[in-house]
Formats: sequence, C-alpha cells, structure tokens
Amino acid sequence: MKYLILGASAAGLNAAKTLRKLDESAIITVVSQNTMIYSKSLLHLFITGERNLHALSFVEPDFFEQNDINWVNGVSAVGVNTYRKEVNLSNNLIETYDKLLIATGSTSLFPPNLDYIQDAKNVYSLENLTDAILIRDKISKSKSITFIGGGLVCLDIVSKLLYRGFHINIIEYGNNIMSFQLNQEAAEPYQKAVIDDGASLYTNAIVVSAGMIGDEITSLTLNNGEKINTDMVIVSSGISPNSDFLEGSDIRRDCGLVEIKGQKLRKGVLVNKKCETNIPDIYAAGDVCAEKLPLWPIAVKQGIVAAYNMALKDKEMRSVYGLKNPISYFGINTISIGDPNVSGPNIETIDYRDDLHGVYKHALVENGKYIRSIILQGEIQGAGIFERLIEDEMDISGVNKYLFDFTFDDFFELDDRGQIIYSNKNAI
Amino acid sequence: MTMKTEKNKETIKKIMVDESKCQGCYNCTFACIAVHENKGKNIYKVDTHNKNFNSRNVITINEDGRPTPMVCRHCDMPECVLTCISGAMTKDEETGIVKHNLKKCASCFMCVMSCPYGVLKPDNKTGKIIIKCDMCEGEDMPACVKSCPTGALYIKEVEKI
Ligand SMILES: Cc1cc2nc3c(=O)[nH]c(=O)nc-3n(C[C@H](O)[C@H](O)[C@H](O)COP(=O)(O)OP(=O)(O)OC[C@H]3O[C@@H](n4cnc5c(N)ncnc54)[C@H](O)[C@@H]3O)c2cc1C
Ligand code: SF4
Repeated sequence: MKYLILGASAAGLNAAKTLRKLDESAIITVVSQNTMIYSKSLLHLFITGERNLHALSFVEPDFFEQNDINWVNGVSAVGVNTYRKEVNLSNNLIETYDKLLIATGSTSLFPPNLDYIQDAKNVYSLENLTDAILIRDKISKSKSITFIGGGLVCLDIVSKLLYRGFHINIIEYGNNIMSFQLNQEAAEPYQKAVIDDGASLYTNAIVVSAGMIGDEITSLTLNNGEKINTDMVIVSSGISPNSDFLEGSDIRRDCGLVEIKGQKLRKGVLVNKKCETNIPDIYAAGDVCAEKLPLWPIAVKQGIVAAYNMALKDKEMRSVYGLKNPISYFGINTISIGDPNVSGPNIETIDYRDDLHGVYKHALVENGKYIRSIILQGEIQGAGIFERLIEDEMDISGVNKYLFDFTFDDFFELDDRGQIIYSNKNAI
Repeated sequence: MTMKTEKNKETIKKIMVDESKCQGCYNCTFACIAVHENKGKNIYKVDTHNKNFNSRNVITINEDGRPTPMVCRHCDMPECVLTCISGAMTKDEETGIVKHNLKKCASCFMCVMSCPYGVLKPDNKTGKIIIKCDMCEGEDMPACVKSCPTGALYIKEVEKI
C-alpha cells in the first residue's frame, strides 16, 4: 500500500508513525513545505531566546529513518487529481498514492478590521517559523513592542520579555486579557504581574488609526483617543487552513468564515469522525480541517484516527472540542476548560477561594447537570476529569459530592487493564 | 519490564488498583516520596513536614467517603502523550511505560489538563516541573506496590499491545 501524507507536523507525523506501526510493509511518503521539524506551539520559546531551532522538534532526530518513511521536504503540494490519484508538487514532480492524507495545517488570518496596517513592514503575526525568525530579529532592534490582542500568544512572549527593558503595550478588545479563557477574577493576578513589571495594558480598547513613517508604523491611536508610540506591532490573528491548493478538486471544503469565541477562523476541509473526506481514499487531519479550533492534541488525534482508517482499522474521534487551555505565567498556573463567558437563566456559578494560597476555582453549571466551564487557578491537579465531563457533556447530577472534589472514579469504571471504559471503545 | 508468559505472548507489568482493599494508610504515598524525593530513605524517615516533597500517586475520597489510591495507568493510548506539544511525554512500546523527559518539557501543562485520572501535577516547590510516575524504573517492583500492606495496589501482567 502506498500512503502519501501532505504536511510534517502534529497531524502528519503522528499519522506516519501510526501507519508504520499498523502496516509494516507500507510505503510511506511525507511531503512538506518545511525543511525542519518543529512544534508550532513552541515558537514563542524561540522568539524569547529560550530554545534554539534544534530544541523545537517534537520528534527524535532519526524519526524518518527509524520509521522507514520517505520525507520530501521543502516542496509544496500545488494540486490534487483525485481521479488519477496524483498530487502535483511545486518542484513540478508528481507523487501518486493509494491513500492520501491532507495534513497541511493552517496559517494566520489577519483580522479584517486591521487590514489597513497589514502591509506595514513592522507588523507581524505568529504562525510559523518564518514569522518567528522575523519577530525575533525585529525585537532585537526595538525598544517598544505593541501587542494587539492580549491572548495566549501575547502572554507567551510578554511574560518572558518584561524583565528585559522593553516597553510593552497590550491592546485588548475584551474586559481582561486572555478573555477567551479567563473571567476578570482569574485574569487579575496576571494583569497585576504585567502592569507591576512595567507594561501598559489597555482593555476594552480598539485601534482606530495608525501613524506611519515610510512603510513602518510609528504609533497607534485607540478608540479613547490615546496615542501609543511603538517600534513594532504583533497582532493576534485568526487562522486560515492551508487548503487553497485543493481549489479545483472535488474534495469538499467550506471556505466561509466562522467566529468561535472571538477567534476568526476560515473553515477548511470537511471530514467525518473517521477523518474521511467526501472522496474515497482521501483523509484530512489537523488545523486544515473545518469546524474546529486549532489545537495540538486534536491534530495529533486526528492524525492517528486517519492512519487507522487508512490502514482499514476502525478508530474515531470522540470529540474535537477545543475550548481548553493551560495557562502558566509569572508562577501562576491555571487551567481553563469551556467558555468562561457562557451565560443564561439556568447557569449556576460555583466558586471556591483560598486567597492565602492563591487558589481560585470557578465553575458554571447548567441546570445542575452539565458543567459548561471551569477555571482552576493555583491548584490544577485533577483538571483532566473536568475535560471529560465538559467535552462529553456528562450529567453530574447523580454524583453527590462537592464539584471541585470530583475524580474519575465518580463517573467511570476501569477495565481489566486498569483503564477507563468509555462507551465508544474505538474512539480517542 | 517485558517478559514472556507460558503462552509465549509478550506481556508488560501494570499497577492495578483494588480500591475495596484500600485503608487510606498513605504507605504508598510515603514510599513514593521516599524513593523519588528522599534518596531512598526508609519511609518512616520521610520528613512529612517538607512541603516541597511530591508523591507521584494520590489517594482520593469517593462519594461514600472511601479512599481510592491512584497511580499513573501508563495508558495504552495515553492522553498525556497525545497532548504533549514538545515530545517530552512518550510511550515506550517495549515496556509499556509512559516516560517524561524533563529536558524536553516546556512546562505548558497540557498533560495535567488532559490526564483523566488526575495523577499529574506541577511540583510543589517550583510549580514548573511535572511530577510523573516512572514505575520505579530499574527496581524489581514499584515502591507503592511494595509498601501496600492490603493488596489494594498490585502488579498484573497484561498482554503487550
Ligand atoms: C504560536 C502558537 C502557539 C500555539 N500553542 C499551542 C498550545 O500551547 N497548545 C495547543 O494545543 N496548540 C497550540 N497551538 C496550535 C497548534 O500548534 C496547532 O494546532 C498544530 O500545530 C496543528 O498541527 P497540524 O499538523 O494540523 O498543522 P501545522 O502545525 O500547521 O503544520 C502544517 C504542515 O504542513 C506543511 N504544509 C503546509 N502547506 C503545505 C503544502 N501545500 N504542501 C505540503 N506541505 C504543506 C507545513 O510545512 C507543516 O509541515 C499554537 C499555535 C501557534 C501558532
Ligand atoms: S499520566 Fe495520566 S494519561 Fe498519562 S499515562 Fe499516566 S494515567 Fe495515562
């Protein structure tokens, strides 16, 4: 069997490794635009100088040899002919396949309302290694850095730069930073740390205009009239699946825009729970897929699920729930699962506070049955059970226990290998 | 810890839990601390007041107030490995052990968020280091199992998959 995988990241490499495990004699080829394997989720550590390029890899250096995988790198797929089972490459060569996996990920989607600054030379968004190299280089020549959007990527970078003499501005549209993950109370200690360390934080703020000299931005003006001078701007972006090369093929995509929790996303390749597209023998996994948030574990699981089905073995995605993030800056650890801003007449709030130890826990429960959101701050152990309860919409009303004391055995039985028995055994 | 049974099927060792036998004595917890944090000292010599010591296992209390000891399951499809963004958490297919590589770890805590058994946590001292069971690699038997007086924790050989 000849398997062809497009993309060499979370989804693509996990699929390749799984295929090798399932099919010893398979011919496996991975084609990727990138010439180096790196974890996108670690790029901020490269920008702030904590890791070199080599330390961004999430696989062993001999991954391809060890798994006997043919890696064609520095080459992009430019078209797919689903009738002839061929992929056209940017080097004018053609790769054929019996089974194809599209795992080409995503790039950034610049917020449409900031179109007018997109082309300025000192405006960046972070999506791939090229962006990271440009940002790192520009930071080294800058004194003031402005972030539009106080989300996770912003905090990833800011938390490491604060002590190094830069002037940092954060312009946040919401009431508080990380507003997709945290309510005001949970965001407060992070905001305090940011401000105490000398950054300027503007909340409920929108950029209305920009001052330019040549092709560089020198200042931004906010809706309240305030003007911020800056040497460079880093914009939190939405994402756009790398699926343009499928244009003209009969692989179904959804090219509309969707807003999930304030993140603008362009939809991508449509797949079912088995990661099958509408075309037989063609699968897709990871950020390139439609109807989900971009998250590393979803890409990994979709890669594995796709591989199983490509090798004619059953496996399904249990869920593609993506509203979940650990947050760890300034020595404060938090885990947020679900939408902290969910509201409604039947939503009950459960709070626990231990100020002495910096512990704050917050849950939103609907009709006494379903946890819709949880924030665990200062004490994050045991968060995993809440991921299950929220993702799988499990009814908690039958368990007579304080919610923050829930453990897995309140809800699940163990099998003869000592592991949770899920209702769908084939799902991951 | 790979071995062959009579049927010549390769097996791996798993720590199993029979919570009905647990008396909540915390021997497993102290044994774990003794081995990993206190250089193998006798469990009766563990400094119980040292808040910087971490146990890799937990004892939880169920709805009826009964204790359940919980140790890393070294899962067949480990959530902690599937969510790891840095390649620090890996599954050794030979031994079945799920290993954590401190050097590669980015302390992002994706694994803490996704382990459904709730056995992972950042260390008490720095809040940055993942505390993870290593099955007392190199020892003939994990310390928690060895020290459990009731058989609530025991070793079972299961088929390698
Ligand atoms: C700065 C940052 C921080 C993040 N932090 C986290 C985090 O903490 N936790 C988390 O869960 N998620 C995080 N994410 C999201 C996570 O990194 C992504 O969800 C994940 O990388 C998706 O993996 P993927 O395999 O689908 O695609 P990608 O990682 O996007 O990789 C796509 C691959 O396809 C290749 N490719 C693209 N186009 C083509 C083409 N036409 N032909 C051939 N190859 C092509 C690329 O070269 C690459 O190899 C972060 C993302 C960013 C940008
Ligand atoms: S840490 Fe949790 S998810 Fe990982 S192997 Fe152990 S029990 Fe399984």
